[in-house]
Amino acid sequence: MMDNLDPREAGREEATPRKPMEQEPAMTDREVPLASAHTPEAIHAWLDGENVNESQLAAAEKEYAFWRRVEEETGKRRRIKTPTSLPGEIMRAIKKD
Amino acid sequence: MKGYTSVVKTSQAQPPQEDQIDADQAIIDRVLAGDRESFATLIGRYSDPLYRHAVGMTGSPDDAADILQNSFIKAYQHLGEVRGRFDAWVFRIVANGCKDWLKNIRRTHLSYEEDDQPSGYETPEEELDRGELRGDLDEALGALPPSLREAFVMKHVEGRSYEEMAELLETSVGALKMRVHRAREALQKLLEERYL
Repeated sequence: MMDNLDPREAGREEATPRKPMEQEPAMTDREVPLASAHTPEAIHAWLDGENVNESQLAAAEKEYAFWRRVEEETGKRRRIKTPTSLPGEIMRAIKKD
Repeated sequence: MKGYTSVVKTSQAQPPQEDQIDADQAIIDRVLAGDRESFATLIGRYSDPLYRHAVGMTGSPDDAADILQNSFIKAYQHLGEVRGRFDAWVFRIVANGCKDWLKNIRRTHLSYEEDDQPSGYETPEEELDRGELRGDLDEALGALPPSLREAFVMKHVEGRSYEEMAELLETSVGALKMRVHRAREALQKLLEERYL
């Protein structure tokens, strides 16, 4: 099977499945209904990097505290580095070709 | 305190500047002319953000490393097809690799498994900080549909702007904002009983 390297494919599985349905089911966006909570607009705006009035955040105190914790964790993930051995392994694999 | 808060999130991934795009093209030209070693420069330049994307999408450092390796090998094999920004082109190869992985994992696994190898956190303290939220966040991310997980990971883990995301995914800023907002609301729902 040829690899599909067309960058236009990214994020468009639903619209343009790569194979007929009978061979490989197209990836649906979700398999079960997705429940969602109400996240106040002020929290979305703050998470999106916009200036938010302090009183609006105070009104959503619990959500603000929750998302600050999540942000702390995602901030650590933002500093994750590639394993040091990986670039060398990739180059060795390329040279074997 | 009165007035406006200052936004806590300050780190944001910067897209490459024009001179770096030219530099990438010069490296590509050298590789295509037979200097294979120069490809290592491109790997070094872009592997970290791509690895973060793959870890965020798979939740597995081992699988993320595999996806990254396969993606760079494909990129090398098809280097002559690069048009425009190399970083955007190789990002899409990795993103497609992650989506293919998700399709397969859904057929064979229903839950995440712990990897044995270090995940690449910056400090040993962060590596060891396997707090409850970390595991629960991984599990909740794993429950999101791929398009929402991708948007959340790009925004919150990779720290990209909506404009950069729109360029990489070739979609609109509005659509991506909606995906990120939906992802947040779903994550909050999944985690609120324990953390809110």
